[in-house]
Amino acid sequence: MNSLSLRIFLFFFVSSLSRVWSLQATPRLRSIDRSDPIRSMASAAATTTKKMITLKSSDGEEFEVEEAVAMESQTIRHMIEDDCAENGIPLPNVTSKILSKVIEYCKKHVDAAAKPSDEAGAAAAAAAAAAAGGGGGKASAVPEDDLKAWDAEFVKVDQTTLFDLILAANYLNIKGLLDLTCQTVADMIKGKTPEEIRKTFNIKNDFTPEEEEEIRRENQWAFE
Amino acid sequence: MAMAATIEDLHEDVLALVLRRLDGPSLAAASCASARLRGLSGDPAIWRDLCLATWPSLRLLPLPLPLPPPQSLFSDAFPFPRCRAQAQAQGQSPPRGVPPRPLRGLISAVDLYHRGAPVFSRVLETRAASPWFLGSPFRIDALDPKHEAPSAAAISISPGELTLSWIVIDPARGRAVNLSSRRPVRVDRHWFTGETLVRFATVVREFSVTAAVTCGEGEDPVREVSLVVEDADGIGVSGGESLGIIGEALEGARRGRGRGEEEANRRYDEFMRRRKRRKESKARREGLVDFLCTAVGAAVSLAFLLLVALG
Repeated sequence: MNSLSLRIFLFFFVSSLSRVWSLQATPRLRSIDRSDPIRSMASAAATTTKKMITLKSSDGEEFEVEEAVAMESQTIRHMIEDDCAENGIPLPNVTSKILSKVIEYCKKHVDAAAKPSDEAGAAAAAAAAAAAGGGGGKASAVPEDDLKAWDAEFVKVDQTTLFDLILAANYLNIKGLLDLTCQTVADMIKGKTPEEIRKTFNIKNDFTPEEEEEIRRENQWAFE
Repeated sequence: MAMAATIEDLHEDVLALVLRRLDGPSLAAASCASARLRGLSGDPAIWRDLCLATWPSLRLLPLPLPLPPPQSLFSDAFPFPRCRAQAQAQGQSPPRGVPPRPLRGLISAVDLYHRGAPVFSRVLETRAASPWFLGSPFRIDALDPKHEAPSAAAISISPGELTLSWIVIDPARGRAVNLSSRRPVRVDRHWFTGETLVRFATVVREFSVTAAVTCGEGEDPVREVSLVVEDADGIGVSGGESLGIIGEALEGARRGRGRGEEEANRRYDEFMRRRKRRKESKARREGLVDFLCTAVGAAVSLAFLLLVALG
């Protein structure tokens, strides 16, 4: 009887010891659980649905985005792949205003890229059901036009914001946004004379009168 | 980070991305805006890509040829050639005072477009030194149905929607000129063969330089593409004289896309009207001569008869 109770006591003692050891091995998880219940929910959710990345703008504001959205930026993608993203990613070159716009762009494009596979499936099913081939083709073309219209609205901003978006897209290496914003600026230059270009972009004319005359003559063919 | 207030705050590589998306005239206008933009827009790579995109035939040029730099090639070949008298009237006479050397050889880069998409591109070299070439009527064939099977894509072509660019490059002087009117000046359908002749002509002095495209129905829509020089009466001009005319076009001034095209069309209309007037006045003259000869003949025979009857 004594040996049995001793064994039972020893069993519980050893198991409680092992529990203490295992807890000591992962103190961070424990402290996170205690200090940030929301973060713990997120990390718990991480194992089941999507991983969230924190981006910190230059003025200290933090933005939580899905990993897929953050990976639109090649710069952030490399940081995630190199495991530098555990504590959030600081972006000292991007203000919060611009960062929120960039995140809005990336979210829209990630959602649009995810949709066509569902829409194509639905369209194929509808086409098979209706036995008419024309409708299926149109359904996949419309979201592309919608996205283009959304992009056109997205870049209707003042010049300062537009140039900041270009610099942010260049720094974060987001090809789609860079192409879109550069094309917008190019469209602002197209068809204008040099004076109009200077007026639109507030550029100072730093040519001497002789230089200006020579350049005019060289490029006379362009604006007649 | 300081807020970017102007385009000048963008990095050079980012500005270059913007400049690459511009067309030729806009890029040239941007280069006149400020010294920094001028430096960036002067990059030969941007102009080279612009030339290749505008004229796909330039890709076919054999490389060791000495060609003018891309920016000057574009500024020479994109606008329309002006006639010297009008250019001088506007104070735009060519700066070179030295009389031009005779042309020894030409390179032609021909591009035919249908609804804006290229359908035919060819590059040919013409040696201009032989006495046979200098003596016979001037003609360059980019596509000759007698010597080769046409290789244009088998699409149905509506002749009114064709545009042509025929660039003549003088490698010795490093100049180029586009001798086509871009859009057709005349479309004639031959009732018998069913083929359509589309003409793209520009006027230099009192001669017309005409690029003619023959197209038809069926599997080879583009049958013939050639360049000829005609005088005011529609007669072909000899090779030697044609080279002089082309040389003048090469050295002359250029006029940009908008008003240049209007002016070129106006000159061609005037040229055709003058040709018609000359034909009519010639026909009238000959009619008068005929009448006089008939009258003289009739008078002589009447006088002879009278002479015989009276004496």
